[in-house]
Amino acid sequence: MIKKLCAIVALALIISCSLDHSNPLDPENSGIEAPSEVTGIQVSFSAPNHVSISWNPKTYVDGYFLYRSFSEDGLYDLFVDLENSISSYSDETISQNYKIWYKVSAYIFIDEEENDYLEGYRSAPKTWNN
Amino acid sequence: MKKILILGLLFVVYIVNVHAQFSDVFLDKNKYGWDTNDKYSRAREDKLARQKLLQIYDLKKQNILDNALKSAAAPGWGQLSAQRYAKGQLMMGAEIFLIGSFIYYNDKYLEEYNNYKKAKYIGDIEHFYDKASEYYATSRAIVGLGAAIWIYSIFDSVFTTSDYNQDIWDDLYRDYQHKKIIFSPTGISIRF
Repeated sequence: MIKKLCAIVALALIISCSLDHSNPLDPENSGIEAPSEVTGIQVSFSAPNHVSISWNPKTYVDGYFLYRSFSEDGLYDLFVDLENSISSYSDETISQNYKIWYKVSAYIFIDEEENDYLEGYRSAPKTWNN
Repeated sequence: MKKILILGLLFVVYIVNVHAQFSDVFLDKNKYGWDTNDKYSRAREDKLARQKLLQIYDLKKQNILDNALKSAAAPGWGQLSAQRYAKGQLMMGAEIFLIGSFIYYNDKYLEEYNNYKKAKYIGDIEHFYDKASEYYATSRAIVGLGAAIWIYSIFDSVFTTSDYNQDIWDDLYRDYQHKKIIFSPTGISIRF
């Protein structure tokens, strides 16, 4: 009897576990669809320090984020925020001695004045071929 | 005068007869095997001794409600009071461990949920929500387990205290039977 009661209490508390989707940008809460992954990314290097990155442009997005890192699995820093009309970028800040990895993502504004945006999935890391 | 004597004699016979009937009812010595005065006096001594044992028992026994309240305040406390040390320490230890675990997992849940609420990247939104849900479920499961132990501890303290009181009585009675407890007109003495 006591064991059953304890089991019921424990079970009730476990079942009652569900977390609110309280983030206004969460598609589960807002119904806003996040931009899909950016595709067709091409990275090319030309001496001495010029890297060109391009991708397939997307419709219904407000801009792109370009990230870069010194290693494929390392920490990617936001390098540049680009307008939606741009689908290529030239990175001339690198040294020839380093290999740089890039990721691209698209975003949409939810509230531009508040700088509330929803960023879509980031692409797989890309670098140039030697 | 003769009539008065006859009536007086009849009255005496009647009184003796009534007394004999009452004696048969209330002093039926054969009913409990008190066929001799010696047996009767031993039974009477035994009854008095038991009454004194009950007095000692009343002093030594523990209140079930008190122990249940102790267990409600701190699971295992009631069991410790009833000298069930292993069980009491286990319950108290488990509860302390669960409280510590709950604080840890609840803190992690709040941290991840806060990250989730601030996230703007869909990958982070999904990642932090999943992590927050995981920690939230774990912390709630711990609360459930803690509540179950708490309730069990309260109920168990009732039975544990009853067992403790029964043991007290059994020990007292055994000691009395082995004449370790001696009742005398000057008081009660316990022989070890």
